[in-house]
Amino acid sequence: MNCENIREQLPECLAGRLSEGARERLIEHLEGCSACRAELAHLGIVWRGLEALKLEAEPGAAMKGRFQSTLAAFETGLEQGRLEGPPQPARSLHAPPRWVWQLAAGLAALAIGMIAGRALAPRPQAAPEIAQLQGQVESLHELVALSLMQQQSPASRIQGVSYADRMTQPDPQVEQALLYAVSHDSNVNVRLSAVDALDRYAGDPNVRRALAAALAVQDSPLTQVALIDLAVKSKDRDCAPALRRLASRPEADEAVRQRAQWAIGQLGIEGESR
Amino acid sequence: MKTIFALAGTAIIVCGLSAAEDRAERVVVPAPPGGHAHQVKVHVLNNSIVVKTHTGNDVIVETGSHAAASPEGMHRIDGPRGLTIDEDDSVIEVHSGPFLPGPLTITVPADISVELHSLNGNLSVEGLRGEVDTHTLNGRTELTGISGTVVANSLNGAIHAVLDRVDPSKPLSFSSLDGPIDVTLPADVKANVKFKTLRADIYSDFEIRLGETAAMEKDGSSGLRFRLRFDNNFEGLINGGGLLASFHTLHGTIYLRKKK
Repeated sequence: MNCENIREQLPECLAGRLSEGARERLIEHLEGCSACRAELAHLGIVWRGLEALKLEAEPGAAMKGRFQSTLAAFETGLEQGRLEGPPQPARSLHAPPRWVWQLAAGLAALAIGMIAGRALAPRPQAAPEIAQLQGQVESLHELVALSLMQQQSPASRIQGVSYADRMTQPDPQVEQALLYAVSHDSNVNVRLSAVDALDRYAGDPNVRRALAAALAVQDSPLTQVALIDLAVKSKDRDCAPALRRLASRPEADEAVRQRAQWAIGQLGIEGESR
Repeated sequence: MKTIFALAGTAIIVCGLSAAEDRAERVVVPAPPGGHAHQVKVHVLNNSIVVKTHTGNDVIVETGSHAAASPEGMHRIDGPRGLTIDEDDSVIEVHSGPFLPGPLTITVPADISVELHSLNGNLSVEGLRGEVDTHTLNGRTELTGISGTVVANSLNGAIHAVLDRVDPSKPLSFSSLDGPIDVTLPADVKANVKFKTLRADIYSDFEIRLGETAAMEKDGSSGLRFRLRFDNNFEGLINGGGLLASFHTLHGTIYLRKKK
């Protein structure tokens, strides 16, 4: 063991941290080497001075408190850093990550958009289609009504009149066909159903004139009564002359004359000049 | 193409076959090839008209008995006097003069349609499946076993109709001034019924769901379950509604019966 190794071990020896064997070898060397003993002596002085200094530098309670609080603050900061930073990957394992919520929100927005689109957009688009369909059904009814009213069989003509009755919109062609049927159809039952179907057209002045004319030429008592009832129902005072003629016509059926008289009373046209 | 049958020797097919025995006249109108006539129209003044069906395609017109008996060993060779039969495009028209004897009996295929007008005679149709269109002034109308559709009108005569089946696509229509209308429909008929009368009563054993215009009351006196009374018109539904059935009278009572 050379002096250099021994001088490296001197501080350890002074600190009392050398092993038993190393300490004995150090002492043997010191007994034979004056240079190393001088070194140890010097080191000893420094060491003892250090010991004195160490006692004086012993931290006070205040300093210890400051240190502890600083340490605590550091640890809190460290803990917060652990909560904010590293927790992100941990959250992805248990709770849906943010992009899931974003995707869900996106899909929800799409769904709302589609629902709103169906609820709102179709109306302005479909309304004309439905109106068009209704128009087509209407014109089909008109077509069927008009063509059936041309048929040979009275059952078909009555069917045609009932189609006309089912039309929601009054139609001039159908109106003409019904008026024609009232005056000219060979079958009384067709005439009767045509009078019923003309009910809704009775507000039209042209129809009133035509009905008054039909009443004047009608030869079927049943149809006459139906026309009289229609005139009363629609408050048609244009029929007054035809009603008066009918009421005083001797060859008319008695029931018809009575009904005409009743209608004159109902319409309040008794006192008017002839 | 118009063919005129009958009258003074111009008849193409006149079969006075059994004339010698019962003195009735009989005219057979042969069916057009591949089917039968579409419609038979019979317009008479005072004769009654009886329409019967058979399985053949011909239309057979028979008049009543001739007043004078044929001399011994002879039979009449002329046709029925005053009877005109026209055939045009599968429509057969039968007209009679005022002196034609007895009722006119027409035997037709069941699917044919008939139009029968008689001023004072009665009308009778049995077992027809086509359209029945009748008009009388004073005669009675008797329709039985009908399974087509009916449009019937009479001024003073009664109308009695029994329908075994109805054609849901065709309307039924009955009208009379003073004569009663008595109609029997299948119990399961689906119909929109429309009644219009001046002062008549209406009876039915159908349960009719009424519009707002009339009230239905229980009634035992007529033998039917319900009685309706009102002084105008109303509409109702039978079995939820379907074909249109209309009834117009001024004074004639209306009976709408359920077929038992």
